Amino acid sequence: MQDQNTQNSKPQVKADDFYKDIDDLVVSEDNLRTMAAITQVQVESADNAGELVEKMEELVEEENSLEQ
Amino acid sequence: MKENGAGATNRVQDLLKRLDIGKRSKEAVVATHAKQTVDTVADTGFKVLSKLDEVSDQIRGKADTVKDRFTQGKEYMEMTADNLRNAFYKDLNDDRIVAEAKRAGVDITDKVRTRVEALLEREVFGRLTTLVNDKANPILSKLGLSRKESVASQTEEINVPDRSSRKAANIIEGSALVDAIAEPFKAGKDYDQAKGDAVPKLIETAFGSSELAGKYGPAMLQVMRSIALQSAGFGAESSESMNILDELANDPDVQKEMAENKVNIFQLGAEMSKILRQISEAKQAALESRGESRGISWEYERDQAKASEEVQAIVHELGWKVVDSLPESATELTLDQLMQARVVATKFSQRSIDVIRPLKKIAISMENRFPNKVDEIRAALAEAVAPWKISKAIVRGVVESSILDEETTKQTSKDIFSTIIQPNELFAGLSAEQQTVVMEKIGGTLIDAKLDNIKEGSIYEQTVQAYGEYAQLVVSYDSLREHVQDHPEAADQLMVLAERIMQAKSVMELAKHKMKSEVIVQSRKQKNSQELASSKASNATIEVQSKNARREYYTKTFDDIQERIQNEGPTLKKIINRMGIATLAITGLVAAGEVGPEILEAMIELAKYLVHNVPVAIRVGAVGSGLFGVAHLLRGLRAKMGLRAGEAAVKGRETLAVDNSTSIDQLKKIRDELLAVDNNSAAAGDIDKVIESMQKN
Repeated sequence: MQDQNTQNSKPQVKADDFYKDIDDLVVSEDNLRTMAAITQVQVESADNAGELVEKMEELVEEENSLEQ
Repeated sequence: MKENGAGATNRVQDLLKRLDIGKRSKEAVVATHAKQTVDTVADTGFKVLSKLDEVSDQIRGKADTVKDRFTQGKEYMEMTADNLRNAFYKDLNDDRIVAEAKRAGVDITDKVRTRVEALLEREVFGRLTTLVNDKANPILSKLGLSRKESVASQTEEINVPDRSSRKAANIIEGSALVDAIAEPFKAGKDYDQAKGDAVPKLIETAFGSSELAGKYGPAMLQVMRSIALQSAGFGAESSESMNILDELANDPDVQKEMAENKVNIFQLGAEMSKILRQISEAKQAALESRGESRGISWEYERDQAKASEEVQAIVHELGWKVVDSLPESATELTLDQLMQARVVATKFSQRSIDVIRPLKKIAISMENRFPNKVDEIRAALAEAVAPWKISKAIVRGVVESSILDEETTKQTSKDIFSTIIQPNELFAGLSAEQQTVVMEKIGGTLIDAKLDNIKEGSIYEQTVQAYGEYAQLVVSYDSLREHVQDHPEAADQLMVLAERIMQAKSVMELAKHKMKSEVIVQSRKQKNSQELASSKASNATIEVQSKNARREYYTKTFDDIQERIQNEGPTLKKIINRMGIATLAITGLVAAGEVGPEILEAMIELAKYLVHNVPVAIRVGAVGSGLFGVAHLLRGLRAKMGLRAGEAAVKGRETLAVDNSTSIDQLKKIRDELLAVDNNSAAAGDIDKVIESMQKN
């Protein structure tokens, strides 16, 4: 076959961008875990801030009761 | 990552030794080994939990840190189990290990794999779930440390409706890929056939006539084939070939005939040898790319295609599990659901790769075999995976293109005003003028007590933007979840979308909290200045002075709390701790079971220590000490367990601790993510510093 007769005119092909695109069809475990870590940290931040706001509201009530 | 041959051999020999081959059925011993490993994890978890139970009275309700550690511990135990299961899965599918085991008399058949996987599934997600539910949750409850998110729910069996009726719309047909690649090579589906077609033509061309080629061609072909095979290291004997060549070259009649036709047999031989050698080298390269010594027939590709198609069915089931774990509407999404879906999505990701990888192997093997047909081969691969690519691109594309319209944005601004600001007691107690001042501080303009405009860059605008991002994702999710029902291959994209929604929701909540605290403080300041003026005018009495002192105390307290709220937000340190501690603790828990009760005691001591110290400083210290401790434990763990879970943990730790481009790239991604979702320039600054430091080191 002709293709084989002249096949060594090109270097052996390695995995490259084309194959990276193919790999990217799947969201990797690492990316899933990174996303999860970011989510968890953001949820915690929001929760923490929420608890602090609640505390502020409690203090408002506490102070109001002292004023009366 | 494939191990080298010697490493694989040692591991298999070690495995076989430990399995005590010969006394029981081979399937049973492999399964038993798997079970023993799960036992180790479960027992370790049980010991840790028992110890914690014993000291729970002493640490009850004393520190959030203990709660965090404890809950993390449960998570890590489950992640450890997951890693162990994956390690087994990989081992049982590792070509080298399978080959070595076979040589040693153990045939790791599909039956063995199925049995081990079923066993691990049952043990890991059965026993450990029971352990967490029966043991860990009561302790948490006893400690008064129940968390909002139940880690136990991560491992609960997902209630999936009858999936047998479901059919995925997008199927990758691996066999079609093989056909597509084979198509351009119809003349040579079989390598030998291809060679058979090519070489006679060469001979005919070289000899200059078909008559001469027909006479001497077969002998020449035989010689060249032998030389080629030998050059490729396939063990062919060359002596016979050389004898034939000698005979031909020395035959007076042949010499005469060649001379008459101006053919130099040696020159011809050299040319042909070169060509055939190239063919053989290509063949060898193809074999090497496969990593095994199978024949070069299309059987290899067919096997790969079959493997891909079989795994695809499993991936679809996992995809549907992810979909079923997530609610129909994003507004109903909870952290519990997210955590449950994560476990399945991780499995999905692992198996999805197994759909794609064999197809890649087919294409790479073919590229090596037919380097001149690279474009056609890649086109065939791209076409084969197109169904998945399109489905996933739909999910990604729709999410990115959704835009919140102006009218909705306007309504959002008003909603925020009426739900966050107006109900505030302090704000409501202010005069219209004071309310206007407070609103200006947070970025809103009031006209007739109604919101008129929002200042660019203000916290109000940030809150509206956060809401917009959230709403945009929610709208995308609601339509795309339906898409994934029929296209389970895009379940990972749906998972990412769900994570982004929870992130956006949290960003929005955080922005709201920050704004609310600002409204409280600014309103208070207005009220304070009003009362101060009033008290000055009325010649302050002792009672008023006392009231002012109290007010001052509360004001300072409010300022302190508000500062904490304003500083709250995701930082690099928090994210890395989340990721890093997870990796370390996976190792720590497994290692604890290996090295004995001292470590358990030490863990408890550490927990108690944490209770009595400043949380932030100690957390930082704990991470540091954990690194040193685990580094020592890892050595023993790797030797004793011989499992990839340990190796993965080592790799994870090294990735985090050692300067390398992967870590830096990962950090840059996190930084971009933070900037994208939260415009968190402070955290981004932190990341840049760390990157700079890593680059220096």
